[in-house]
Amino acid sequence: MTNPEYEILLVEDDAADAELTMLALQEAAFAHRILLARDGAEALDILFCRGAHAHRHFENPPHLVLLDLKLPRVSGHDVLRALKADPRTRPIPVIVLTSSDQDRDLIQCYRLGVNSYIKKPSELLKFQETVRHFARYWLVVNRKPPPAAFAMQALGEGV
Amino acid sequence: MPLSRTLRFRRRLFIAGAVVGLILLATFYLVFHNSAQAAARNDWVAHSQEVLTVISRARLAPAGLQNQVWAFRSTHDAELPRRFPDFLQSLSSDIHHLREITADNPAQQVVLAELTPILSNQMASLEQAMRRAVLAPDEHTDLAFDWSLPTPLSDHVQRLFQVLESNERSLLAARTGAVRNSVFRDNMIFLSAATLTFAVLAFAGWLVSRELVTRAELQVGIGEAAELLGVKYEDQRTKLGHAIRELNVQIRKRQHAEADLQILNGELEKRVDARTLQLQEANNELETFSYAVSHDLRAPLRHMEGFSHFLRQKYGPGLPPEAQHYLDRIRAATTHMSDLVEGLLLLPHAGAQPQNLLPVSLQALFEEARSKMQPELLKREIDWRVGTLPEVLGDSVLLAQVFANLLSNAVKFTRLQPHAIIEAGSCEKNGERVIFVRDNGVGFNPDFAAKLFGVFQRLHRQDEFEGTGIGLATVQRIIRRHGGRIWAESVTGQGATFFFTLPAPRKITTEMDSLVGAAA
Repeated sequence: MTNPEYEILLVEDDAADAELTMLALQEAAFAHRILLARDGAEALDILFCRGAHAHRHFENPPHLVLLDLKLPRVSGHDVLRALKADPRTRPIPVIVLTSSDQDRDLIQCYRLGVNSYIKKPSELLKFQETVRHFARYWLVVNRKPPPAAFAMQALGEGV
Repeated sequence: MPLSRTLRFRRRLFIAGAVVGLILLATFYLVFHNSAQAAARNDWVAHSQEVLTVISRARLAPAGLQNQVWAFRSTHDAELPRRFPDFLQSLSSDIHHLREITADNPAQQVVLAELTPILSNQMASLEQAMRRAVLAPDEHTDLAFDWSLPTPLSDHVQRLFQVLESNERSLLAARTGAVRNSVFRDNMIFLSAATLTFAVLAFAGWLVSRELVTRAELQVGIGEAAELLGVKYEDQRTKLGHAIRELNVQIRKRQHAEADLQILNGELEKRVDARTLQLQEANNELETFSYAVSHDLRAPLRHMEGFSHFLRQKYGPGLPPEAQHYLDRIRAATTHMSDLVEGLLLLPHAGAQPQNLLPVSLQALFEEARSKMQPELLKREIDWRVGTLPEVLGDSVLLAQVFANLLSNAVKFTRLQPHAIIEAGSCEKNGERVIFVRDNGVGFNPDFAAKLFGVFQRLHRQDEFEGTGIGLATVQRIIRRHGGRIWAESVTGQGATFFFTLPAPRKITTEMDSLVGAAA
C-alpha cells in the first residue's frame, strides 16, 4: 500500500534534533516530504509563501507543522501566533514538539491555538512511537477542509 | 405618707376653726338674747323704783296738806289757799298714776283699792278745813278738832302705804336679783366661751406648732438626705471622673501603641515586600535556570540517547563485543544523566507551596502509586500488607509523588529478597498520627540515616542499586511543605521503615485560623 505524499514542515534549529526527528518520521513508514526550517523567520516565509519561498501557494500548504519553541530570531510562539492569526494558514495543524514541559509554555501555546503539545521523550524508542502516533493521527485519521477552501475562507474574511 | 398627713392636719385645723366659729356664734347669740332680757329686767327695776318714788311722794302728801292748813290758820297767808287745789290735784294724779303703773300687780291693786277712798275722804276733809279757815280765820276751835280728826285715818293710811312700799321693795329686790343673776350668767357664758375658744385655739396652736416642728424636722431630714445624696453623687461623680480620666489615659496609650504598631507593621510590611521581591527574583532566576535545564540540558542527552540507539540498531551486530560494551556504557550514562536532570527538575516543584489543599485519601493515592508500578512488578512476587491509611489535607499530585518514590525505593531494595514484604499503614505515636512504609529489603546503615534525605546522597553503590539520590530529598520536601515530618529507621540487612506525619484536615484548618487570627 502506498500512502499519498505528505508534506511536513519541521521547524527546528538544532541539527541533531532535526536529524533525529526526520529519522523517526522515516521510521514511521510514511512517504514524507520534509521541509526543514532552521528558524522562525524561515518557517514564516514558507508558510506565507514569501522570500525564497514566494513560488509556493496558499492552496498547497504543508500538511503538518512540527514546531520547536526555542528558536533564534523569531520564536516558536511568534510563528504559532502568526500562523493561527491568519485565516489562510489557520487550518494547518501545528504540533509543538519541544523538550520543555514548562506550564507557561504549555498554557501560552494552547492560548495561541496549537493543535497538540508534545514533550519529546528522552528515549528514542518512545519518541519514535510518539511520532508514529501523531503522524498517523494528523495526516491520515483527522479530516481537514480542502486546501482551496482556505483561500475562499480568506476572501470571505476580507484578508 | 406626707400627703395624707397634710390632709389630716388640714382637717383638724378646719375642725378647730369650725368649733371656734360655733362658740363665737353661740356666744353672740346668748349675749344678744341676754342683753334683750337684761334691758327688760332693767326696765322692770326702773319701773319698781318709779313706783316707790310715787308711793313715798303720795305718802307724804296728806301730812303736807294738813301742814298747809295749819300754816294758813296761823299766818293767814293768802297764797296758801290759792295753791292748795294744785297740791290736791298732784296727790290725786299720783294715786291715779300709781293705779296705772301697778295695773299688772293684783296685790298692789288690792291695797290701792283700799287706800284710794280713804285718801279721797281725807283730801275732802282737808279741803273743807282750808275752806273753813278762809271763811273764819280766827276760829281756833276747829283747829283743835280738826287736829284730832285725821290721826286714825292717818295711821291706817300709813300702814297701807307701808304695805305698798314693802310689796314694791320685795318686787324690786327680786328684780334686782334677776338682773344680777343675768349679769352673772352672761359673765359665765363669756368666761366659758373665752375658755373654750382659748382651749380650741390652744389645740389648734399646738396642732400647728406640732406640724411646724414635724415639717421643720422633715425639712431638716430632707436637707440632710439631699446633702447625703449630694455627697454620694459627688463621690460617684468624682470616682467616675477618675475612671474616665484613667480610661482616656489608657485609650491614649493604646492609640500610641497602635500607632507604633502601625509604624512597625508598615516597616515589617516594607521588609516583607522587599524580601518577597528578593525571593521572587530568586524564584525567577531559578525558573530561568530550570527552563534552561529542561530545554538545553535535556536536548544533548536526548541526542546521545537517540544516536547511540541508531548506532546500535544499524551497526551493532557488526561491532566487536568490546565496542558494544562501550556503547552500552554510553547509553547507561545517558539514561542516568536523564534521570538526574528529571529529578532535579522535580525538586523545585516539590519545594513549592502545595497549591490545592483538599482532603486527600492516602489509601487511594497508595493504590494508584502501586498500580503505576505494575510493569516492574510483573517480574516480581511481593507480599503486600496494606493497612488503613487516613485522609489528610494536601496536594494530591505532590502526595502521589511521595508514595511513588517510597514504593519505588521499597521495590528496588527488596530486589534481592526471596520473600519480599512491603507494608504500609498508620499508627498513633505520641498523640500524633504516623503513616509508615516498611520493607524487608537491604535496609541501610543507621549511622548514615541523617544523610538519607540529602540531595544526591546515596547509601548504596550505583552497581548495587541504581538511583539518583533525589527521590527521598523530594519526598522530604513535599512532606515538610505540608507541615509534616519524615524520618526513617533501619538495621542493615533487615529492611527499612519510613515514617511521616501529615496534619489531619481539621488541624490544618485550625492552624490557618490561628494564623488569620494572629494577623488580624
